[in-house]
Parts: sequence; structure tokens; C-alpha cells
Amino acid sequence: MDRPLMPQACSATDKVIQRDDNLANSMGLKLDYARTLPDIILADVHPESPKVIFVEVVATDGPITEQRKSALMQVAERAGLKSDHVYFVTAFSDRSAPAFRKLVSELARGTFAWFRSEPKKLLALREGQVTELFFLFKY
Amino acid sequence: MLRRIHHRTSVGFPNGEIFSVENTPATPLIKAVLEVFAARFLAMPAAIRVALPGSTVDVRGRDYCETLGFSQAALHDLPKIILADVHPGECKIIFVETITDEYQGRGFTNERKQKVLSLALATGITASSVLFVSAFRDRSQPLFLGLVASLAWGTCVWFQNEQEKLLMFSDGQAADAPSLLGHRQSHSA
Repeated sequence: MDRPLMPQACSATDKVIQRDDNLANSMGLKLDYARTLPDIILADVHPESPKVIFVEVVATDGPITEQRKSALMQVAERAGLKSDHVYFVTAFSDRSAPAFRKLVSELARGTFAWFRSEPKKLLALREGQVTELFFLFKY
Repeated sequence: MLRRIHHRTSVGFPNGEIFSVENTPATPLIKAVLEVFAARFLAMPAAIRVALPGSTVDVRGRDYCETLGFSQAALHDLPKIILADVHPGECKIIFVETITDEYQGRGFTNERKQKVLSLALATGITASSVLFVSAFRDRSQPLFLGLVASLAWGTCVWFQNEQEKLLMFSDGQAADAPSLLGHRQSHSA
């Protein structure tokens, strides 16, 4: 992220532990707190291309599945965001943790998985088009 | 006499050739890699090497491998499938490991990736011209779940039953995120 900020963070019990309405409003992000929001909402507040990152933190369950992604995308669109400015990340403790092995087959296309034990890496579930693979990897 | 009649599978290679390939448990996955993966993800696909697991005879390719500079000795350590994207300007090489229950190939672990990369570099191929793909039948199969924690970063995984998807183990950089998902970047990061 270029300029990371955090409009919202929730605990595992769905209690909002931090909420920055000013930031959300300044980005035109009108969140409906009556709806189920993800554990963490991050923002990359680049002036020309602001991005919002919905993060689900998974200890045992609750990853970004196709269904969850679709529901969160509706939240984002109602908040006035363009779909290509919205990113989804499921955060796990470790690639070898039972939670990841249990849920990896359910992660939605077009989302990322991030691991606390490998913080500089990112697992991307890419929906492929006829394209050149080599543009997708940078060595 | 009838026992000697072996059923075979027609496999279409990226250049249009059709090869009759011995039926093995790995053949459907190999066929999918050649007919589906290559066509979907490579601009100008070609098959450099195709061999069946356990076979000492390549369906195609020792001469192509030698043209690339791989020695006979290196062939033993190379993946059974090597594809190329023969885009004008620079040829890209894609090493593919097919992993099935019957032939539990190694997948591209760090060790395996480094071994194959060193063989490629020895021929003069550059690191930026190669890509490593581990192919599985299914994201939920125990074989994949058992290997997923040890697959190398900088490689990708393709599943036969999710042909349009790729699982990409990327070294994360902020600027990579849009391109990793196929989004066009609207600003220079």
C-alpha cells in the first residue's frame, strides 16, 4: 500500500474497536454499520486512485469466499466505490496452519491471502484471461 | 493377443499436432495442461518437452531440450512438461510439474525450483524468462493440501477443475497488487 490508513477494525466478537468516520467520509465511503462488515477495513488513500481493502482475519473460520466477496462488494458499491478499487484479503497466521489448509479451497477468485509468518509474501487467486503469465510475476 | 492392445488418449499440442499418448493416471492432467492451460495463459504456446511420469521415452521433445542447451544428464532432473511462450523478441520457458495421487511429483518447492532454475541458468536462460507451475487436479484434494505450505514463492499453481484460475505465490509489493488480480493501475506507484 502506498498510503495506508484504517477506517475500521473489529474484534472477533464483532465489536468495533476502532472506527474513523472522518476518514471514511473523506473518501466518500458511506459504510452501513448495520450490515456485517469485515474484521478490518484498510484504505490506501492515494489521491488519484484511492483503494479500500476488506480484510477478514481467520483464526478458525470466516474467509473471503465467493459468497462473502459478493456480499462485501455490494457493501462497497453501495458506499460508492468502484469494484476495481476494492481488494479482499484473508489473513492467516501460517500457511501450514489447519485453518488455511481447511479453507484454501474456499477462497474466492480475485482475492488475496496473507500470512503473518510470511509478511512480505502474498498469495493471489487470479482469474485468468488469455494473457501473458510473465506480466504477473516480477523477479 | 488382446492384452497387448493399449487404449491411448489423443492429446492436442499447442502447435496443432495431435499425439496418441499412453493412458496413465497422469494423462488427463497432462492433456489438460497442454490443451487448456497453455492455450489460456500463454500468448504463443509451444511444447518443448512432454513425457509421462515413469516413462523413459519422451512423447515429444528431447531434441527441443537439447536445442535449448539442456544436456542429456539434465533431462532426468527437468520436469516432464516444459512449455514455451514463443512471443517475438524473447522466448519464455514454463516448467510444469504435474502432481497426481498416482505420481506424486515434487511440485515446485523451494528446493525443486532452485534445482530447475540452476539447470536453466546454466544454459544461458535468464531467471526473468522462466516460470514455474505446479498442476493439480483439484484445490481440495489432500495431495494439494499436503503440499501447499511448502510450495515456493515466485511460482504458481493451476488446477484442472478450475481452469480459469491461478494461485500465484507472489513476493508481495504494493505495486504488484493490481496486476496480480488483473486490474489496470490507474496511477504510477
